[in-house]
Amino acid sequence: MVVDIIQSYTGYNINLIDQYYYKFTIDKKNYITTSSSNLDTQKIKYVYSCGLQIIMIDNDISLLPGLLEVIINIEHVSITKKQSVKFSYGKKIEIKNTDGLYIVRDGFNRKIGMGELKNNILTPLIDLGWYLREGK
Amino acid sequence: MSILQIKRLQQKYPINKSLLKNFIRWLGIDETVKLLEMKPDDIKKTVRVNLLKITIDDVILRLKKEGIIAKKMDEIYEGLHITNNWNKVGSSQSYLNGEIMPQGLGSMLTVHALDPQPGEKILDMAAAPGGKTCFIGERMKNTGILVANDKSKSRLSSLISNLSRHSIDNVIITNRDASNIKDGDFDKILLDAPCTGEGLIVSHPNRKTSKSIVNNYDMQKIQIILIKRAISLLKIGGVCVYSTCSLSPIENEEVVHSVLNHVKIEQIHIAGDPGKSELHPDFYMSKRILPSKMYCDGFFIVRLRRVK
Repeated sequence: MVVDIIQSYTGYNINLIDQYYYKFTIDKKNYITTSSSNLDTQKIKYVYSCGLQIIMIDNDISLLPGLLEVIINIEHVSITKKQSVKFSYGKKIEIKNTDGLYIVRDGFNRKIGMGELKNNILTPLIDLGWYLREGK
Repeated sequence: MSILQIKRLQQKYPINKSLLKNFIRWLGIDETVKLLEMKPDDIKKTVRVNLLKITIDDVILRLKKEGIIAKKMDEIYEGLHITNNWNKVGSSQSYLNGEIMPQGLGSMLTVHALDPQPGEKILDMAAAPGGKTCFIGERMKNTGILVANDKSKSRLSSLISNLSRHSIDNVIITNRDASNIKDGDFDKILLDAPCTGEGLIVSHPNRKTSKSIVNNYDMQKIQIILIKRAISLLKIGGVCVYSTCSLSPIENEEVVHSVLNHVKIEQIHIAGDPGKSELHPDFYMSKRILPSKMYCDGFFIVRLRRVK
């Protein structure tokens, strides 16, 4: 089900690592979360959320940075320091590669986001600047 | 200390009179003057390294590439002292990627005192915004179960964001008044209790003249309720770390005394030796971290084990 949501949103076949997935509703928004541990939330009262949030479903779908921890079978692309700064703030960057969906890595090989490349323009779908813009 | 001497001190250092009297009573005149002489810049700017994501040496190199100089700290393995460009830290790639977390030494030592281990069941009773929670999760190496509770719903988004940035996924987040938590049997509990925050007067000088900062006894009532609840939620042999960023014995030693008289608990040693408590001989195992000695915000930390 989680894979279906991401595939319908991105239009690409993706796979996620095999671990535990959960669904929560917070302030009328639905969140998909994940954990490598089996978090038995039934035994605890007043649970608000658990694990890493990976998708937010409001009127639209938002892919969250936590998804970078679990997404597999996506090609990786490395970008320069200057491009990393731009990409991390949700800006499109120009790179030469074949069209497709990419996990984006910086010069230190860190995962800094995911983007869709079309006609040499990489559009961010996930970028770590989200933590500064939204993750307060 | 005469009234005239107190008045002179008040003229030199703008500070709530009751707070000044309390400091003199608790710390003595010399330590009080040292405290009041300190400026916000005297507090060391520090970050904690997330060892789930990176090694200490690698993060020092990466920060250097971003123009930030970081030096290892003697007091705690994961700690780094930032000696320049502090304002760049919060927007650095290392920050965004969850490799570092800005965190004061007192907060780091609180989690160090808790000594979280992989596979344990741990409760953080007042978790938001999550600096200490992330450190607990990192020491647990994303195994076991970490329950992170906060009473304030509005603060949970920052807690969730910080946990995500640090890739802590073994966490259950709850939203309730910690005094009502009933689901227990924890190996360890961190109660970083709400407090008047006197220990923050150097980094936040406006607190020196705040009226609420002298309401120690109002805070004590809440702290006693919370510490009693914390102890009741521990399994036998479980450990609770009680901490505040207050320097007052009213919010620290007296609170712990209130449970020492009711349930079977014992104080246990905290590894390392920064700032032993000097205010009460019964609390020789606790730590009172003074800004003037450690160049960080003031803290009180005590480690308790439930015996029966």
